[in-house]
Amino acid sequence: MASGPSSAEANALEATSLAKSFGTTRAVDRLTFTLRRGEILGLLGPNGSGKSTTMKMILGILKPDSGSAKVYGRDVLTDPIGVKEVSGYVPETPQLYEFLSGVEYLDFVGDMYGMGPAAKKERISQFLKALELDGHENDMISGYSQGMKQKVTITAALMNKPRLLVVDEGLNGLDPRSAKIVKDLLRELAREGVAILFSTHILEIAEAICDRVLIMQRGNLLAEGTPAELRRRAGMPGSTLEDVFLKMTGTEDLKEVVEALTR
Amino acid sequence: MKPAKVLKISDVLVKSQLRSARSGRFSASFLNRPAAVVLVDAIAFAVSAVIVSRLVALFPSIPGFSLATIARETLIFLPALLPPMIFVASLLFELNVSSKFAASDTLNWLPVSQSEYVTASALSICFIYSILPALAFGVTLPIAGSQGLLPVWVLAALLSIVALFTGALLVEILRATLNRVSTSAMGRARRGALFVRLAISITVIVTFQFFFNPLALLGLLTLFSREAAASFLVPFLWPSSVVREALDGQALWLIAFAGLSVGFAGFMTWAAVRVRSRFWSPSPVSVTVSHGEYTPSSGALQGFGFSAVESALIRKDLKGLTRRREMVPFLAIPFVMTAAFLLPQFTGVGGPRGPSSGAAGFPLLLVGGIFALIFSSVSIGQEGKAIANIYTLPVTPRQYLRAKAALALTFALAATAVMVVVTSVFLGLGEREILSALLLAPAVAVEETFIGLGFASRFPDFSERPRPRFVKPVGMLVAFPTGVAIMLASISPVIISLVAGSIAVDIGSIYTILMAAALIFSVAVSLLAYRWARGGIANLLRELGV
Repeated sequence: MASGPSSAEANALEATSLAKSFGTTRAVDRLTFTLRRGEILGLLGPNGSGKSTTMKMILGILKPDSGSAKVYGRDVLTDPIGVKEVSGYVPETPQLYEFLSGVEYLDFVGDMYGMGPAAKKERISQFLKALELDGHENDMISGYSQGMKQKVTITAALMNKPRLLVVDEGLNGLDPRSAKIVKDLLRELAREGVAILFSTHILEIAEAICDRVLIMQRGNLLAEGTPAELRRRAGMPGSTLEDVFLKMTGTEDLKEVVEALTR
Repeated sequence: MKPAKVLKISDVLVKSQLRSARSGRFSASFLNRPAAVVLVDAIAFAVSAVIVSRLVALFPSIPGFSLATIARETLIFLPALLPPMIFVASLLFELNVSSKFAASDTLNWLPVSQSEYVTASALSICFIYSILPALAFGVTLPIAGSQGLLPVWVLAALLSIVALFTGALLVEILRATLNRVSTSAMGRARRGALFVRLAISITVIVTFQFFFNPLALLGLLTLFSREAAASFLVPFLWPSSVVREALDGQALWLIAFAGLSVGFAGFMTWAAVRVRSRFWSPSPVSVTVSHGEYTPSSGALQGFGFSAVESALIRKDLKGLTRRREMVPFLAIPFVMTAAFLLPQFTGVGGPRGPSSGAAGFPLLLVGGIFALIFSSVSIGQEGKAIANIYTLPVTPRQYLRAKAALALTFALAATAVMVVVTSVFLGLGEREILSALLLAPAVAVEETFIGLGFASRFPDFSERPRPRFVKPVGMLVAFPTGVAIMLASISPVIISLVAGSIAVDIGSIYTILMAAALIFSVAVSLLAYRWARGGIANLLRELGV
């Protein structure tokens, strides 16, 4: 990976030899990669491959055992608050204060980022309308559907106009129309220069919106490149990213598994 | 109903209670198994039995006491004591299970009948709190044995188990009823409904606590021992009546009350099954908390020196207090404690009657301190799974600590102020005691807040199922005696003054010095506890637990 001064300016995120273990399980093993401004980088891998752990280490939610991560030059170990100030995070499962209304929660998040009343109001109104939450904004979140909670989570992650957006399975629970809105939104944000790290199990989505993808398995980086590069490398031109992924992760022969389950 | 299935469900419910605070990989540790509860019970039984047997050996030398009378009263009291104990414990710890999981619980879609579930759940409650009967049996066994009443003790123990099960069934009934009140009954509710629910819930808790208070029950038993007919009116006293009739050799009445006791347990089972059948699956609640266009939050709290982040954290927690059902028991604490302290004053049971000196009234001044300790101990764990927000948002440990301390202190100081007034007006504190209260009670509230936060940051329990606990049991077990011990040390001048007064010794000349020393001690403890809490929070926010 290039990491000179000029690339540091272009890079939104530089992860160097990130490692994390839980007990005897090596969740992430010396992972190194970069994410450029305006780029959407897909993080793919089977369950338990270390994607979420990687994302959490980048944002300072988990402390790496070794290695480092810099977000716009801010080291997550020495300046975690600085990293959080320029980042937005959409977790795999919405973790909201369910006794607040949607709008109260977003107002709370705005205060955490030190946003003024006018900025909060503008941002909240804009997203409530775009994500079709208006009409429910004053209801307590405990009464929201899974998809509505996910929309609130996405809005919260975008409240402070983040320069790095980390999305962990961010389309979970969304109806097709909302999922399309979010995908278009991510592309638009990338065009505006926001760097996006995006994990998903739905490989069609990764293929559609990601500029590059990283494939992880058991905490290791298996492959990195654009979808076209990965197809070429796998010797599968014309095939889908899903086929490439299954081949690379060694799970392409699923027939036996299905037969065992239906026995 | 299949007994094997009931036992299996009960086993799972107990395990979910034991393991809820633990995360990560499953541990085969002995402490994760229900057998650990049995071992703790056995130790509690043996230790209490040994201690009491030693005391019983000393007893004949104490003039004015009749061991025979004590044996009779404790055996009668035993079956009546356990249901209120388990009920009060359940009010505080069992009824805060969030109803949001009720409809999606695995047991709802497995082939389990309502009667099997209710019976298993009641059994699991009995098992989880089984240390209470273990201690009670250990205490009463040597007393009964010394009087040759072992057969009656066995009868009392068996009836206690029936009574305990009946108390657990009452908890099941109340749990299902509160589910109904809290969810489907509210429908599409407004913010006002939240306050009504809060007020009703606190009233229910305080009322039940008041009427199931062992002191109140003792008064009732005293009454019914003089007026045997009264026992017919209170089904929870029927098991005690069986023991009384056994001691009096009234076989016919014994059989009658035994039949009534078993019948009542059967009726309670039927009622609990009926209530759960009707209310088992609460409808999702949609509560509208405001109307009209969104107005960004004001910075009113910033006028008190709080940053925007701290203000937002305080506002968020304040809303949680008034809107979350699981927080209600904690808000009820000052009322429950006040009722518990005032009960002996006005009933004459277990203490002096009527208005008295500060000796009887001073414990009320500790309500603020105990409230601060408990309230701050649960203040971090009450974030639940949403604690993840604190890790992803730019919040510093200092901001988090200041916000948590501010809310706990506000409530504790308010409770302290009310208690100072109540004590002064109703219990006739002297001038010196009022002055002491004004100085020491707020100091105690401050120190207990930071002690509580120290434990909250080191032993937080963010699990929400099977019920939120907010602080790990070991944390609360250490926090409570530690906090109370420090509190007693802080008010030692008043204790010394009261003790000296009771033996007619005037310590007027050194009282001021003692007060100054106590205040310095309290300030020093507060500073140390603040640093300890700050360290705990910094450590906690370093990395999200997995």
